[in-house]
Amino acid sequence: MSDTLVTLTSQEGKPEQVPRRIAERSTLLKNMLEDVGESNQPIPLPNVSHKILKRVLEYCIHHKDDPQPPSDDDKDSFDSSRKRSDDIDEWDQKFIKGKEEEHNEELFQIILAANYLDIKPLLDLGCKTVANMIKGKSPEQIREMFNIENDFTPEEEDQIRRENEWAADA
Amino acid sequence: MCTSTPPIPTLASLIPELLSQILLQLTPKDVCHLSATTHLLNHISSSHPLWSSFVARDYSHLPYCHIPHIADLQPHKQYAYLYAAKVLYFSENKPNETVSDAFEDVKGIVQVVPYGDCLAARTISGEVHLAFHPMPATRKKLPPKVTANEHHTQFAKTAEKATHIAGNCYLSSIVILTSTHKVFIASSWRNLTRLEYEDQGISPVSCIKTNDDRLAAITIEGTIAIWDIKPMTLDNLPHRPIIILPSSPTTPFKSIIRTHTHYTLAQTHTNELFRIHHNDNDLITSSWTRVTETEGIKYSKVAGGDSYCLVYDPERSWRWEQKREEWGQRLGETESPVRVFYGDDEYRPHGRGTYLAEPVPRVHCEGSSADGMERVMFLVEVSGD
Repeated sequence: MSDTLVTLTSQEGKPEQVPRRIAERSTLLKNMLEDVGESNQPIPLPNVSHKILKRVLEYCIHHKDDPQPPSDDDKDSFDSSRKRSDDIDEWDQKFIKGKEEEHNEELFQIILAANYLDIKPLLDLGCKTVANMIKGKSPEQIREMFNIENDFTPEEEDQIRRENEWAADA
Repeated sequence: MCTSTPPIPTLASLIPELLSQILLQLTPKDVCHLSATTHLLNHISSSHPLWSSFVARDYSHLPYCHIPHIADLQPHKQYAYLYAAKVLYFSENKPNETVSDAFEDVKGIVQVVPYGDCLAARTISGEVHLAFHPMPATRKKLPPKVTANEHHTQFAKTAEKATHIAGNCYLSSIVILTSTHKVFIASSWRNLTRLEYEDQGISPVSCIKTNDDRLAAITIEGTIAIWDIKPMTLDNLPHRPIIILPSSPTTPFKSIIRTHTHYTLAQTHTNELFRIHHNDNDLITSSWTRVTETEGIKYSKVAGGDSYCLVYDPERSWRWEQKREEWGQRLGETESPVRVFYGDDEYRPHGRGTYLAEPVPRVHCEGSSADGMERVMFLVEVSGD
């Protein structure tokens, strides 16, 4: 059964065929496939663009033999590595880096897709990558990196700076 | 099928649940910087469900890089957590409910110590604030938020800047070391009393420790001076220390782990642990003895109590040792450096044996005793720095 092909259609309506066991790296798709049983009907993914779907599938293919992550209910087997951001393996680092010029845009789209499709390891990878980008940066550097507009008034900025003095000195 | 181009997602447009996962990876300092970028991120960072992990005492989900301060406050079984410079109380009876933010209006807290049933907090600017616990009879009527006017007292907001505080549960007092090396003792019902030691030829203090009715301080020469601070002497502190212990046989002492009527346990800057036996007036053993089973073991973190010693040995594991006739009798050991054994049983102060997964870059622990009972307080500090 796991060798059967599943058709996924992206936001743009483009179909993408993948082996079922690859698709089942996504908890969302796994549950859907279990619910519908054998079916040739394509599965629509209206929240995922074709480009990001292909990227996500690239990740799933590379990690097809990885053990499934523990479920949220299984607290005792919580993977402690999720709390760390310095343990990203080399392939994952290259994968998430993607094309330099599209990095940020694609990164957030991958995070959203991983969240939607419920692919925990990919979601962790995306979040860790963003966290690593934030670490050690000043607010100004964070704004610049993520193209965030400063919507604080100078007075508000002053107040926040005062409130955060402890962190600056830490 | 929708063919319109959706907006390009950005950091600020991530849903809070995703942002929360990112926040979990950040240090308090990083979170502060992130929250200073925009109103939205400020709101999300400061009102984040990260708190729920603390309130639920679910340590497996604790962010890797934040700082819980777990203080078992006798006897009311309320717990306080220092988290990203905020302090939360919660009651054992209300595991899913925060009782209050003990220092809601206090900014920049860098150290929190329990004393008696109260907490004291030191800020980065050197202020010391107290938060009083409601007594058992009134605890049930605890308001959802303890207000600053009713329950906080601020002192030491003078020219003196506190650089270190130590709580004394036995005396319900706080010992304050200032940047000018003055030592004050304060309690919730007394004025600040200064321990004047200069005329005794004792050099400024670099570290303080208080246990029961003893106050010990490392002098700049490296000796350890011990004062008797019995309750009746708090208003009129004796200037003369009861005993001065010799300096370390190796590198200078950096901290006093425990001072007791019969012995003192101290740690050097190279993490060697030494013990010396003494009574109020005399040394029983003439010099310091290394407290290890094997020469060369260097404990990075140590906590002491009346009859136990909790150590963190980064090259081996946590070890829970009990002072019997011979120090160093090992009572429990695990592969995990963060499991703690009490006697023959795993110590589960909050129902969980394992606090945090390896590796743990920085671990602090602190020992205490109160009301004659063996207690231990853990300060587990984990940082990605």
